[in-house]
Amino acid sequence: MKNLIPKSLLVLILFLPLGVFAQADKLTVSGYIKDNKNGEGLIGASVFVKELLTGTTTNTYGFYSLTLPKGKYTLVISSVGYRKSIKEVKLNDQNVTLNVEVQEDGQELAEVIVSAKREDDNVQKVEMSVNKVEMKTIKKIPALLGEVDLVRAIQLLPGVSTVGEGASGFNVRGGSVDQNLILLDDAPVYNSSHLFGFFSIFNPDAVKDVKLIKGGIPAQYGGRGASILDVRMKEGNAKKLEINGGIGAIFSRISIEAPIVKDKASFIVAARRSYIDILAKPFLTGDNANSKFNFYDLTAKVNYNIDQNNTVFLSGYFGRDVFGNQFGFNWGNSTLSARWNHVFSSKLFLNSTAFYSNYDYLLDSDLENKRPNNAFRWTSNIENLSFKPDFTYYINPENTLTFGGQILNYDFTPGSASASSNGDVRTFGSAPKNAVEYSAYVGNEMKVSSKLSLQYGVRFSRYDYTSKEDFYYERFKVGISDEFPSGYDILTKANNKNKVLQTYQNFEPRFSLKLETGENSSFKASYNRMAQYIHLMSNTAASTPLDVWTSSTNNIKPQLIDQVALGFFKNLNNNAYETSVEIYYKELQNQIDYADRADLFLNPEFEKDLMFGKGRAYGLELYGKKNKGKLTGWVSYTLARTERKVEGLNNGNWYLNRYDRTHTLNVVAQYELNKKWSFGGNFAFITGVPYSLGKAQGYYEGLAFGITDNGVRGNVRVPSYHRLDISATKKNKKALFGKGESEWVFSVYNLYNRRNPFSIYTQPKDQTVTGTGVQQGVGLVQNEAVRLSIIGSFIPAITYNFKF
Amino acid sequence: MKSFIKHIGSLLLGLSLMSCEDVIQLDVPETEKYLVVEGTITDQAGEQIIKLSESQALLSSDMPKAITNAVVKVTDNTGKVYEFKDTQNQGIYKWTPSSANDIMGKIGNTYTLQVTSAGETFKAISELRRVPKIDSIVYKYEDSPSPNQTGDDKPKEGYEANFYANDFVGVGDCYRIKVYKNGKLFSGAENIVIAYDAIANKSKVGDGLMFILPLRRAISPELYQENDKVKVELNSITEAHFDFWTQLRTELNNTGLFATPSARIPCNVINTNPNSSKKAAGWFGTSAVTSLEVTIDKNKAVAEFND
Repeated sequence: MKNLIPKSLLVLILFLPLGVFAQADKLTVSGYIKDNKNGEGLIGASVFVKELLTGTTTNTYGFYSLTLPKGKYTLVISSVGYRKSIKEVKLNDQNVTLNVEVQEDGQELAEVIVSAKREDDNVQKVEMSVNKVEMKTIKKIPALLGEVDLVRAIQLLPGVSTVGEGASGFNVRGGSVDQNLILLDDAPVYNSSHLFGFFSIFNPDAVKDVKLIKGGIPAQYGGRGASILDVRMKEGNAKKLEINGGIGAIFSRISIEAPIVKDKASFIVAARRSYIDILAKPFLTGDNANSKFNFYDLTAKVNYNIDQNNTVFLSGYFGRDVFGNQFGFNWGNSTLSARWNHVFSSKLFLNSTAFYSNYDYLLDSDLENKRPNNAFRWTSNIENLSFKPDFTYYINPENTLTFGGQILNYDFTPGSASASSNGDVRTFGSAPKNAVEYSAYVGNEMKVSSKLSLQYGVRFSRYDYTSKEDFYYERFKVGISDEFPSGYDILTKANNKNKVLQTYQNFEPRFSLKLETGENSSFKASYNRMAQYIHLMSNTAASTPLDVWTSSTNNIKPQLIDQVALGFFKNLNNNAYETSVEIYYKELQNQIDYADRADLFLNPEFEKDLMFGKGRAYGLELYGKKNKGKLTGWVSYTLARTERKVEGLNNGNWYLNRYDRTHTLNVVAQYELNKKWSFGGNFAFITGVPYSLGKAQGYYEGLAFGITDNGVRGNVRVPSYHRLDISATKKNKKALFGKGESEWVFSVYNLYNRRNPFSIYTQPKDQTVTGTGVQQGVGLVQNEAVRLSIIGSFIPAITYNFKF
Repeated sequence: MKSFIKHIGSLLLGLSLMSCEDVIQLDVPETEKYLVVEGTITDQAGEQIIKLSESQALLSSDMPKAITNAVVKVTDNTGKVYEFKDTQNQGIYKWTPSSANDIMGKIGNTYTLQVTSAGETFKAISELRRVPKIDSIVYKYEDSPSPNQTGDDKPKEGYEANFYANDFVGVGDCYRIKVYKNGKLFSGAENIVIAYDAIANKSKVGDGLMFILPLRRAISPELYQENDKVKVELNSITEAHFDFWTQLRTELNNTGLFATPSARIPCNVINTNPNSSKKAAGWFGTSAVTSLEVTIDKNKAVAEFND
């Protein structure tokens, strides 16, 4: 599998579609499908040609294009949650532009159904291992402290898990947290969490569409190994002023969207802020009175529809978590993306994106500058600047060609600190690093027959790494010992900091197949290779905001991940039920683990503490979803394993990754009693993660300590986790001042008050005992085992949401 | 720095979300027996002690079993041999000076421990490193102590002390800072204070500085009262011993959301037979010691620290 870059595939991609380029007798109908109420483009809406029994779907901007023989056709435009729209089109002597605004089905629903797709997409589309969750659904899932949360919601999907409550990020199909490419309007987000991992950074009122791709990843995506979480922001209501807001236990939020020029230009601005600190203020005294303790985010987007062929978007996100009093600590992401949608011809669609993304943190021992002579300040960041054009060429209804590329510049400041003692200032840390990732891809989605569709493509990526220092490090093997727990030491060598130190390049083939096996069922298969050039250095149970994103270097090779997945998809009862079974197998190369006693912070020689090996992950995912009726929801079950094999760890044998979960069961249900009341519930059962304990115990200067050998890995498991949450939503006709709509959401998280273990560890007891024998007269501190529950009780919450 | 994150984490959890810790029973089968060595040779007058015991099951609350009948000796780099005897059969091996002037530890010397027990021979080597003198201990009445200083049964008000000393020029001097209140050592896991040159973590940048502020302040794990005797002791340790203490401290405080996988605490006591399965744990150390003691007197308290 490792060398699976079939030349034949490349040949196929390059030449096959070209043969069908010349189509003299054909004409094209193209345009945008939009929501008639707010003007948002509909993603994935179906455009079906009744006479030819063929069709297409809209892209992420709501654009579609169909090239058909001359003639008169009936187009049926449909998407879930919208009324069907039927349009006549005559293709006589010229291409036709047809923009359609469709009307929501059942306008009485409070939420606008912003993600729309065809009912049987899951069966019909060639893509597999893809989950789309509608914001409407996410908003009804009972949430921790009533805060609607996108990342927590996707953790209820098959193949997705976390190391535990409060842990930031998520694990997809046995991949680590850093193997997820989280895109917010095409800009990568490096830390998706507020408050460690309790809340995600996405403001639910500003999100239009969420898509998680776990397998069969199309060629246009690259850079991470396990998944793509593609989050698209709303464009803003192009028809009228709309205000959404909510008051919850943790956050309050507000979003304003309005047309700037009706149907031409609109904007959305959404903001959230937590107020734990405001609520806590009366209880804080002395030095703690000025404690800062909050997190906030601001999301904004404007779009301008210049003419039929040109639309520009500018969107940005800025969020930050701030803690501290005299000692300050803050971190956050900021992204800015500018996009230009251009329709070259009715068949060729271009989206070009330029983006900036930054993640940084700061620690400062002396926020108020009281002791400038004795201070400590530490910063770290990763910064991106990128340009990426993406073309879609709608050759004919049978072939849709996508191609494009990307230049992605990385500037890393892994850690830069200054410390002063008695006025004597010293700076230290790791030198800045730079890298440029170039990529180009081409892919084609092809309907071979009415039953068989293929999606195939290849991505080529190249990574140029430059160390911005006069020297670089080279690892060499010395053997594992207490002094060199990884078995490696490093040498310092001279470096030209203006020259690329190391280049990597990879071909990443992608392939998916769909074969219809019946009226409402299909079989799908896919293979993808992903190359990942940046890595999150994280050696803690849950990843911390301090974890550093590091470049591939001369010592750290890019991760390569191959995945094969097979699936069977079937819909029942006129698409009222969706079901699927998928299995996957992954091989991961150049995986990073950490030696015992690894020092990853502010350590320029941290590469000495890394250990490299391979991984494998495999699993079975069952998914059943009910889409229609008063009761909706899904059940997902995952049986999985994720392992590693690293020389020097676990005696060179396979061992479980620390995020391995054998069983994951999620049940999500929502019930609409009537127009006023609706209810939600979800249940989760998850096998505990592995951890390791010492083999024996000794005493040193009165302190009991665990004894173990170098490189021991997870020999014990944390007990299983299970939890039930419920919610009730009461809708009110009128919101504030007799206008708009509002709702109360009552929820209870962890209803049956279970103390779910996050981890188990040993810690010193508070009391000492007086030793005898060999420890005669010594005050001995013994250890005890402790189970930590991040959430140790049930948590009720009330949230008030309004819209007008 | 990790401890800081943990602190924030716990603060936050305590305040906002009802996290909890429960002590549980955990049966951990004992899979291996290690020889546990505990001993530090100092440059102070008097007897020197090396304790030998056998490891026990993790979380055991039994007293550790002594290793008796071992042959324990230390040789310095000049070839002088020091015999350690377990006269009480308690696993406590002592070297007793022949006279008051007979001091075993000498700065700059290297000491080799050899333990022979049950047919296995273990060796450890350690150099006795230099230590700077403590210039002063200064204290002030603290009106806004940190929660750590006043938690549990600790005094709610009193004096916070600072000590001042300068690291030698030359990278790699390591120290352990011990604090005694009225003759009693603060010996808990939270009281492990070590320094690499003048800073808390292993880095070249702290060389030759005055011990940085967090280290100076670390001698006040709680507030002192009028007439309390505060003694600060600076012990030189080797860099490897610094690593040992670093990891011991990490393991003992390795809790919460951001715990690291439990890792081996290094050991410098090595079985001379590399093929033997019998291993050792613990550390054989060497230290030069300086100390300074003050008695808290409200008339001598400063209004503000000079920092």
